[in-house]
Amino acid sequence: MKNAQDKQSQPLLDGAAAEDQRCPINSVPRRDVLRMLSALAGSLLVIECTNEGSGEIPEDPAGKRNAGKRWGYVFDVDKCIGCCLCMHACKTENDVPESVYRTWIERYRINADHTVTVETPSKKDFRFAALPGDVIKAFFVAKLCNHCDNTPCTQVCPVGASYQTHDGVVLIDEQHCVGCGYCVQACPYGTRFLHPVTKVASKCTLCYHRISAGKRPACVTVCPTGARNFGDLNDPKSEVSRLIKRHRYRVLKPELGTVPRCAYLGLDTEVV
Amino acid sequence: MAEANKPDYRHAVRPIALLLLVAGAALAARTLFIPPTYGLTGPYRAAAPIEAQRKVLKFVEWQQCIGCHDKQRVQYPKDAHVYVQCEGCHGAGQRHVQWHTARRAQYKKSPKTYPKAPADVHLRAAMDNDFCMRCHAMLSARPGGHPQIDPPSHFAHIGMKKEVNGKPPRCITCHPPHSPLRLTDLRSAKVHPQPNRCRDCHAEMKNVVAGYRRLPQSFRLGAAKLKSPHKSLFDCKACHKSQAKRFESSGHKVLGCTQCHNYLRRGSYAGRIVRDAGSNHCLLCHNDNDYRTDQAPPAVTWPDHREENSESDADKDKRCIDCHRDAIHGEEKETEKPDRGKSEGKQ
Repeated sequence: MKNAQDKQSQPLLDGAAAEDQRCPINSVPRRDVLRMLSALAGSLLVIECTNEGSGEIPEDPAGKRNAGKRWGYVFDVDKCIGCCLCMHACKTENDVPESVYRTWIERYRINADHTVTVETPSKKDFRFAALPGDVIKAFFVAKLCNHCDNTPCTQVCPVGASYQTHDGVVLIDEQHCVGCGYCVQACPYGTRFLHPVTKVASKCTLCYHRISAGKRPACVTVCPTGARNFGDLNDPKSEVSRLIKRHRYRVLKPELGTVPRCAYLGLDTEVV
Repeated sequence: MAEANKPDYRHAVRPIALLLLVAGAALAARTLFIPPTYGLTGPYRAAAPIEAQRKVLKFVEWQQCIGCHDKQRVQYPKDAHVYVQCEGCHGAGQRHVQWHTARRAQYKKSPKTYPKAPADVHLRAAMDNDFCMRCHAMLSARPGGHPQIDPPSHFAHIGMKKEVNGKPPRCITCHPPHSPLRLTDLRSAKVHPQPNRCRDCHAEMKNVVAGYRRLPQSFRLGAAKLKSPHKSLFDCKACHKSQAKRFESSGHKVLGCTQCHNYLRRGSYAGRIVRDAGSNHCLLCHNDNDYRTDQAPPAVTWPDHREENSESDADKDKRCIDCHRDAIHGEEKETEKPDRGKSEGKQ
């Protein structure tokens, strides 16, 4: 840096050496000054952009009720009968268009030759066909957003449109999502998708509008066997706390460190 | 020279102006790109979760349904569909509730002139067999305790025609969806003693049990294998010997015990056994209807059958089992008292 300075400032010193002594700024070449200034301006811009916004937060109608809550989800594999009413209910409640799903049921088949086949229900009216062939065992597993504590999807969002609420639900700000799809790729559970109509990212919200009103998510509301359970993990008396306490459970892909909040009771190791 | 001594800052004007310009642009960009309330509660727009709460609900949960539908409120916790949610079959009820709540005063005033709800408000479950089959079709991935049928064989085993007027029998003809098995209240069902302690069966053999417990573990396991009855702890006849013996002579032998005495394996009612379901349960097979073939079991019209055969007013409350006990459980050979629920099988 010093060498460069000397070289460039040589012609200047010839003509205006006296002035140079009086004003030390002249000893710094103009280009460097401009560089410094632009760096300053750039950092100012960054600081401005990451600074907190203005405006008042509208009143939270469910603020008191949701305070201190930590929503959790428990799926009991042994109880699921694969009726897929939950898939219907989710589509109705959240106006999910065709060809995309916020939650779905998978049928795992462990065949006689110990290969594993995973099937999804028919696209038309969500039904499973009768099983052909030799099967050692088969069972149904529901998939949905795991609402992880350590979310990979919100961390990659470049515009801060994907976030986690104070009660732990991972949501998408549809007004400000730019639809880049980074989060769709970041989710290890494949639960995010780009909405075909709005063209922004979309996913299970645990029916945030319902749980804020004190109701259960739509899929839990219609489940006829109680396979899907939802509640507050902080409340030791809630159904989900009771289930987790009494049963052995597993979460999906624990090795990724996402800390999912969706527990599966009686899950086989074949399920990923 | 005095002027010359003065510091000259003209060269700084341009960069400072540039700096101000860039800062101004940054401010403008900030107001343009950063939405209001961003970052107030975290790295997101603080208003977003509150906006997400404003969506209209479409499913209203059963608590709201039974607020008006009183009959179903009574039936709901009784029968096998206790866990089935109203809106699972009937669909989302928001519009239905909204429409009828707005006219509540009108209904109270004059129920007779109450207007009929438009088609999109009226909730009606799909009552075809296909809808029942969504849950009850035979699928090998379904859990074992869940009732599943293969329609042709189901109709055959109770002697039903496969078609009447070109249509197969409807499930709801025999199984009303709100009380499909016509059981008595599940909550008041007896808890069946789960044989998980020796004394559940060997109550009067205290010394033997205590002595057995003193044996070394390996020997105990060997003894359990030797005495084969322990293999069949969930076989009814292991404990209910006399009933099982009588049942051999009964016409109901083909059905087995658990067809009527439903043993609930899972859920809040696990371990309970539903017995004495009343006449309605018998009528599942013995009620007269169009679908019967010659092979079908004998049929009656209810409650005409009871009224025809009753001699006094007291007889009018009789259940099928009060007269037909022998036909159900087989002839009583000795003068033994049918022991209800009491564990037998003392060895």
